[in-house]
Amino acid sequence: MDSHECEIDKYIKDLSIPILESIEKTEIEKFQPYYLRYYEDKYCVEFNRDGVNNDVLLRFHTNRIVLISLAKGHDIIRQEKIIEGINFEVKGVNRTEICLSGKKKHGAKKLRQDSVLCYIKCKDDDKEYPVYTSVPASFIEVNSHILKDPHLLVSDYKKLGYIGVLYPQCYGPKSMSVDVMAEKYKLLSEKEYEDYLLSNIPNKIIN
Amino acid sequence: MESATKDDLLKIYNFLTDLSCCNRCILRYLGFHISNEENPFQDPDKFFMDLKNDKNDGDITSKRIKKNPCPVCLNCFDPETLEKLISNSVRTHGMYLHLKKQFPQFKFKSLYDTTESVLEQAHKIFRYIAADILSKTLQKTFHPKSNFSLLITICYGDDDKEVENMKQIIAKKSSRRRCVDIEVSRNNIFEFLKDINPEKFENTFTTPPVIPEKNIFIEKVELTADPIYLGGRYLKFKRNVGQTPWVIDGVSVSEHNIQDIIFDAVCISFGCSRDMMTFCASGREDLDVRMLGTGRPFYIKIDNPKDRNISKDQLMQIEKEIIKTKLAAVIKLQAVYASELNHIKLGEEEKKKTYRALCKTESPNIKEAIESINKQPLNLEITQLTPMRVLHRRTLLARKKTIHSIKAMELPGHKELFEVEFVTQAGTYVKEFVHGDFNRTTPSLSSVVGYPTDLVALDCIDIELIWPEKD
Repeated sequence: MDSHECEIDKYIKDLSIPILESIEKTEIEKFQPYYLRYYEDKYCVEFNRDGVNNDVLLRFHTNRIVLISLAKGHDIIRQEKIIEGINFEVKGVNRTEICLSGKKKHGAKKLRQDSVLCYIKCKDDDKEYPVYTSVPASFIEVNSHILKDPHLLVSDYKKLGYIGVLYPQCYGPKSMSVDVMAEKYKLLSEKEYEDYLLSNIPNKIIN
Repeated sequence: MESATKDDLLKIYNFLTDLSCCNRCILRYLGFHISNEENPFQDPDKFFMDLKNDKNDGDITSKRIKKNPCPVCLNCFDPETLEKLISNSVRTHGMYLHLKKQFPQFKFKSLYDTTESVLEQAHKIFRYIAADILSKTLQKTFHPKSNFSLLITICYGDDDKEVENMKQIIAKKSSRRRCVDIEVSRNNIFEFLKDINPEKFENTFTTPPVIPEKNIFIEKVELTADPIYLGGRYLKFKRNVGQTPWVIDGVSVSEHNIQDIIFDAVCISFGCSRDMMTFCASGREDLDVRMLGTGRPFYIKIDNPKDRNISKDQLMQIEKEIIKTKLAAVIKLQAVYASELNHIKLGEEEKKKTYRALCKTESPNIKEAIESINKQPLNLEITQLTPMRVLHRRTLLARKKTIHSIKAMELPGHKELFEVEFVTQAGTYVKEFVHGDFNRTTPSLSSVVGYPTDLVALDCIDIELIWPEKD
């Protein structure tokens, strides 16, 4: 090894600091699990009518993929119901029959904001609870875990218990930012949703 | 041409000469090639003279007395003048049809085939003649595989006029597609002439071609040197340094990137500008991943270099400039051959990569967690459904990958942190292999440990590839 290589080598050794020291202590302390750190939560209460709470949680990944799940203000979660089944049969179309191809997800069904994604059936309850898509998007994946264990929708709604994956239609370079989408489709931020839930409590008591 | 009698050849020669055709064009129609053993293109006058003498045809002076430009090649096969192939192609075709009509019994080679039976291509004759003159003038030897090339563009004054007809025909042909502006290039004229039927051609163009009124002239001469390549391996010491500039909506994602750091150093050492260079690496690490250890193979291409001789001092200077930034280093920098470049992209699927990760687990017993990881067999098979992180740009698919080996180590004084080193198959999503990604990756370190386990920081420490060749 000549003197030049030795010199470079010494620099490399000095600069290759151990992995534990390569990030800030505070960063390790503040470290959030993967299902939180990449996502920005938005809530949709647009379809709450006549005292029925259909609150939906939309988790926007930084790449604008969206996980859709029930939000904690949803009647099923509020009333601590047990989910028996999820019905993806909407207007004679089975939403779980997704036939995707390629990067662009050709073949995905495009759903409107007010399209019903699925109906939820609870134990000792004749009602079917519709879940609205809440933001115009392609429905690209059904979460296979909830098909096996539907109650995950309640028990693990912030992690494994999402219904499926949405890909908002307005993608591409000119796509809307999450904030623009939130404004257009009246989605609430975490803070706004907390405020909404507080103001919504009296309703619940009246009901 | 063996089948043709000398008589036939002479007849054709006389016929074309009467039409002002130059001797080299006549050779071409007769089917001679530059690669023929008895290459007559060097001295076509002598060739025809000999032919005539053999026949004892008293008249040995060329019949071509009128000094018109040749109506086929527009004199670009003439050592004193030179070509642009657009009108030339049309004219070649016109004369070809005319010739075939006049000599139906003679088997002319095809104009457009790519097989042996094609007439010598116009540019080859041109190159052959031009190279000879240039070698003499410049006192340099012409070599077809030289790394320095000369592009000569030749212009013919009436080109536009003669090609105008062509545009109309092509436009008619493609009228169904509403394309108004048709680019006329050498290639699409070739394509078009290949299939046109003779009557249609004759209706639009005069056959034989009219005697040109203007001479051709050289429009421009461009000089290009073949690129040179520098290969090496780079290291990246800081997180949030990209590999290449990455701009989203006009905003740079990272302040620094490897490509620019390397380019800047090369600029200082070689005095060339950034836009002459291209960067290419064997894969890429994420923005927040460091590249340590043996580094990542890469090469840069320098276009049109002024100097092909790279000294050891220059290379050392580049390495020093790069390490001064404290963000990156380059090692084993050296000139590499163009033929080696594919090594860097080959075997991308099989290439093994070694990573070191800092992990955080919710397991209440860190020792147990580490044990369960270290119990995993060699070459562990995992299945990864396209991670959420990249689902927007990759096809939804379950991919099988191999974790060749895995070793977890305690970090003294830490109850929830530990270090893992693993060797993975190229294309494994490492972050997802640790946290499991909603159980889309199975098994994962989370499932092996039995408690949520996540990846706090990641370093790539080796990419299994011999690059560059020399140590």
